[in-house]
Amino acid sequence: MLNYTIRRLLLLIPTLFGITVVTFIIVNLAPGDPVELINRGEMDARISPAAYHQMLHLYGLDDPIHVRYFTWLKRVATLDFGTSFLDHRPVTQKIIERLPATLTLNVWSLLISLVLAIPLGLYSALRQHSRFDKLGGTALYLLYSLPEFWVALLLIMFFGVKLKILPINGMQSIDARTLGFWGYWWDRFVHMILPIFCLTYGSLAFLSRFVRGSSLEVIRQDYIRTARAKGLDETRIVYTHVFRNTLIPVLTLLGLLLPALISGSIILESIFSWPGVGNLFFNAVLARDYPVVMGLSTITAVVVLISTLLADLLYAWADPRVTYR
Amino acid sequence: MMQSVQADLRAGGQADSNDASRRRGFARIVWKRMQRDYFAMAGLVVIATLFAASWLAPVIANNRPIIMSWEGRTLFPAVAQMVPFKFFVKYPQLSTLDFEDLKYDESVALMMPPVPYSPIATSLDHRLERPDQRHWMGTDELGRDVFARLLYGTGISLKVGLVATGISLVIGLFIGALAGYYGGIADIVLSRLIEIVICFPFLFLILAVIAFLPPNIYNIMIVIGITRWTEIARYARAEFVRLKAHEFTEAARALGARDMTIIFRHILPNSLAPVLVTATFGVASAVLIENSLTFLGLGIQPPAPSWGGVLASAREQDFAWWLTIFPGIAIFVTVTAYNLLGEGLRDASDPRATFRPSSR
Amino acid sequence: MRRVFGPLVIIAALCAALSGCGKKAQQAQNAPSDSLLASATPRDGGTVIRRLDSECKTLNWVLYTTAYELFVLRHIYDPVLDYDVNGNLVPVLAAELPTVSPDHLRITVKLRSDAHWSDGVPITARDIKWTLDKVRDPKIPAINKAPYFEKLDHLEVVDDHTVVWVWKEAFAPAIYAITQLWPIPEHIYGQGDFLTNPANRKPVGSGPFTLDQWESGQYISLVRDPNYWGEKAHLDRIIFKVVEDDAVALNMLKAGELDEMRATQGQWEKQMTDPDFNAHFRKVDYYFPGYNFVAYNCRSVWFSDKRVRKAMTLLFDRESVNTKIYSGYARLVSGPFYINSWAYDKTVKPLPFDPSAARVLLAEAGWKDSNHDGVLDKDGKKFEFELNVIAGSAPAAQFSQLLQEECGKAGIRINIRSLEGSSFFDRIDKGDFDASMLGWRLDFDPDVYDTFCSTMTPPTGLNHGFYKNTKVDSLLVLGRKEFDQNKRAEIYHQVHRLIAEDQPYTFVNAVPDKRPVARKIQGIQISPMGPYDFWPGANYWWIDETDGRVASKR
Repeated sequence: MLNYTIRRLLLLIPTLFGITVVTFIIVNLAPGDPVELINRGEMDARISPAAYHQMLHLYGLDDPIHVRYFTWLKRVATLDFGTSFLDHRPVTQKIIERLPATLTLNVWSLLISLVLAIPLGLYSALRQHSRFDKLGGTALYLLYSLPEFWVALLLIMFFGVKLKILPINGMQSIDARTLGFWGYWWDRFVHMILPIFCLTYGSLAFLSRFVRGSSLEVIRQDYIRTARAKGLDETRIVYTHVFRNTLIPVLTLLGLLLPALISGSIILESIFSWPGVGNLFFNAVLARDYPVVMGLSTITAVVVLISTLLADLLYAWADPRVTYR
Repeated sequence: MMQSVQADLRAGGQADSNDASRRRGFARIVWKRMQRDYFAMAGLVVIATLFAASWLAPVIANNRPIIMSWEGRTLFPAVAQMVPFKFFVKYPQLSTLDFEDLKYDESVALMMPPVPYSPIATSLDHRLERPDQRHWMGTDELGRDVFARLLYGTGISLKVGLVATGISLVIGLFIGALAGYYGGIADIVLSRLIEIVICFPFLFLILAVIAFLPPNIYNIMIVIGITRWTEIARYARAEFVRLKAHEFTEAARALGARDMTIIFRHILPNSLAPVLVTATFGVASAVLIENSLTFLGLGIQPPAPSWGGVLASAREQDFAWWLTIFPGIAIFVTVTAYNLLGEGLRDASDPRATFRPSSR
Repeated sequence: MRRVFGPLVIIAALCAALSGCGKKAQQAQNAPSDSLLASATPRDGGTVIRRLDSECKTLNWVLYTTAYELFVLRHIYDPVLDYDVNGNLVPVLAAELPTVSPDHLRITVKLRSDAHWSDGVPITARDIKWTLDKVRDPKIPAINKAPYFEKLDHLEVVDDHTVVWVWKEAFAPAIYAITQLWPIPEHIYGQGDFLTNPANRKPVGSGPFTLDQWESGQYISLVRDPNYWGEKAHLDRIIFKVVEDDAVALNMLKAGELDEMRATQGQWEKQMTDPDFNAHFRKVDYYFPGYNFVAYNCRSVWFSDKRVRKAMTLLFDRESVNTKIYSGYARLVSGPFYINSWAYDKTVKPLPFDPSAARVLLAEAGWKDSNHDGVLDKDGKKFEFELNVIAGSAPAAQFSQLLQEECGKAGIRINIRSLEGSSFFDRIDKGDFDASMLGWRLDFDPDVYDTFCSTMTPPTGLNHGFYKNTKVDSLLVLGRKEFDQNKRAEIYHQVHRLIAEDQPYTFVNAVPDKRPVARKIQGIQISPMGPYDFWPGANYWWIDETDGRVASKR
């Protein structure tokens, strides 16, 4: 096991390298460049070809792609992701500025989803084919089918305009800092309610069905039948055996959930003016702000690699039958 | 599971030669068991209906008549737009005709489809009308009938979902199975491949594809398919890693079954649970991705109707609730049907299930 | 499974309105129904909350690129010269109007002696020169501003308060170019790296307001500067909130969290008509220099013949678009100038919607359906082409589909290609397109040399369609040298007629900006450029709480 872990950790570096190469290539495939778009902020700018090429040169965009890649790589080796083409601020600063906003939403949403989805899924599995199972499932699919932007707008209209009890925009009120310590955090909390709700309701369906599926797997096992035959109390069976074993496949979800934590929902961040990483990334893509795009992609890649390793290790730890050669 | 092991015992380990018949047997067993699951069958029926509807769309909603008489001949313009016929039945004399004028002309049009509107013919006088007798689901911002657009969009949405998910399933299962089963070098290499694809910049890929290739729907499906298989691969790999340590695998190996047999006939059916859930949501998720892409203008090009496209109009005209509710219902029906089907498949193929409705 | 992918509203035809010059009075059409001009006495106090459609990236006047940054910058910085509500040139930081030498090569500008930055340091001629040097510095991405000064020879600093602009040749748009240079403080920006100077986020300006807070991605708060060198503003605060989504913005407006916003056509017509809304908000709409059009690549096999281009215009039912999609809130355009400007020839009428005339023209140009497949062809080439539109623009999507439908009936097959901004402009800048649908935002100065002169084809200029008409070329050159406005108008009228005859574009329409504004706001003035892009713009708005809703505490 230890050997395996060490091997995996060593493999991180070449994999990361490979990911950055592939990402760099794909990112440069899309047509257009940032100079053009800075140009096009005003749709009538007349930039002479000399000035255009000067700009390209300034940004280092006229070098061939492998030169650009190695320049970037050299800088990244010193943890310098460069400066954004849009506002010339360091990429790291821009990301750090926005990461907490996204993390807050995502972490809370994940916790709430898990807290709700696991019991839901378990209960559906235990009462398979019952009315709860079928109707509950249907209700969840209904939730899943509703487009995010529509639900968000509906909630905004209802709670923000009609009832006026919840804020509908931004992370905090304008002069929140003058509200004092408790006032400030209450203000932040209240601003989070609608975005978190919108973020959570959709993933409930998938998560709970997933838990249901893996619970069913567990329930079928012989040892559950044995436990029942032994006359064990149903509750004990559920908590001691079913619940814990159900969590094992959920651990594979970790490998996908952790990277999702740092990726923001572009729609919701746009609708709620939530200054998160999703919004940053999307605007960077549209503006071909390569430093920001590469910076975010690299950080995401690191998180992906670490979380897949973590998921694999946790899986092996949880299920003693699992070994990696 | 006992069944397949017993079958192997009976055949004396000659699993290979009777593979085909046994696979047919397994499929038939699964099918028989599914038939008793009413919900799964309901899902299947709904999906079949959706396919039928998309095939029959030209005769259900069209501004061309089903039967018309033109210059003494009897023509079937609506029928001629249906899939098998449109390749060999052509009516060049009708190509410049304005069907809007002919719609209600009794001497020419003998039978109009039940919804006499085309999904792409604009009608600026009837923009954004609420659902009423004429337009059951209202009209969009160019006056097109929403029901017609959703109907014709069914084919596209189903195709996007199925093809994209199909591609993901095939690639994902294959890679996940190999990585999980063989372990070692194969696992190392394939897992790294999975990680690299997870980190693909999807948005840029789409932008590049849209910019360089003709923007047809198949390119989009393929892009969605080849970037979304990683989830399935991860689940499949985890399941294979877990299941290869189970007794039945050892038993099968002891009986001399080949690796491929073990993978596909023994482990795979047991590993489907998380994969199926992912796949069934994947179909609906593909539709929603298509919506986002179409909203950005990167998806299906106008004026082709798609559910995602109608939702995109809804985003612009948010007071027109009918532009959101009806596609939402359509997506909901599709998601539910696919999930019921998927769950039914999973339950029916689960070798351990003692199938009784509301069993504990 | 998370749908990690989603749309952001991309608005086509968005950009800064660049103030322009018009020596005659230009009043906007479509004045609102009640008078907005200041009638009562202004009172001090209050806050106005305005909407930013997207975040500001910088508050550096040399580096800014979007209209929204300009909204904010116009409160923090003052121009030397600008145009007032009637389109007349007025001095702001300047002490008086500039003096022009008889050969039009030297323009002398004198600064006020009492103007100072918000930190007390006086504004001098050196600041102007320094700013200009930065604008023309090849290492600075000031590509929005630099082109105005291509014909500038140099700037002379005569003394602390006098500069002379020396031009290489007599250049009619010179005065307009001068209004585009707003000085920034040399003593602040002179230290350190220009691109990363902290003053980009916390500017020291010359205007009636100063920056108070900037919560990145959320809002920018300005406060009145009590030490302003000129007439003090009335409002205590102006807050700019970032709201990207139009539907959310409307909800915020109704909830009192915004006092004004830019509205879409659908919202204007359908969601702003109830009496309660009208009790609290004024609907202000105004035209601004700009128009929408379809550009044709005149080198392509289909569009090299001007009869074909004319036929395309005849196939586009623009009048219906106007009445049915815009409910009459748009104006058809027949030429490449701002409809309210003196350069626009009102005698040139837009082409009508006439499909049969179009068919005649197409046949004349040699396009016939020889193989009866429903598509026109000529010499074996089918009349099938790609129309590029900018993704995310609802009007472009609608127009293109209408055009596609009508052309289909005439035997022309259009494939609509929706491209996101960067890809779209990449194509068009290279001249790699068949036809594209977009809009121009114009300067007030009507010089369109860069757009229609045959030497300004890609990659040099904006003549993306490779349009060539030598008569137009010579007229455009003349127009730049003519200083008598009447003669200049005649030149541009001729250009208008020639271009209308050649139809290198199908001119579609000009669509006014639509803004609901809270009734409590007084002192709103509308110039030919709108309510913001002139002097003093929104600087002297004030609040009269008795006439409308009380500002929300949020």
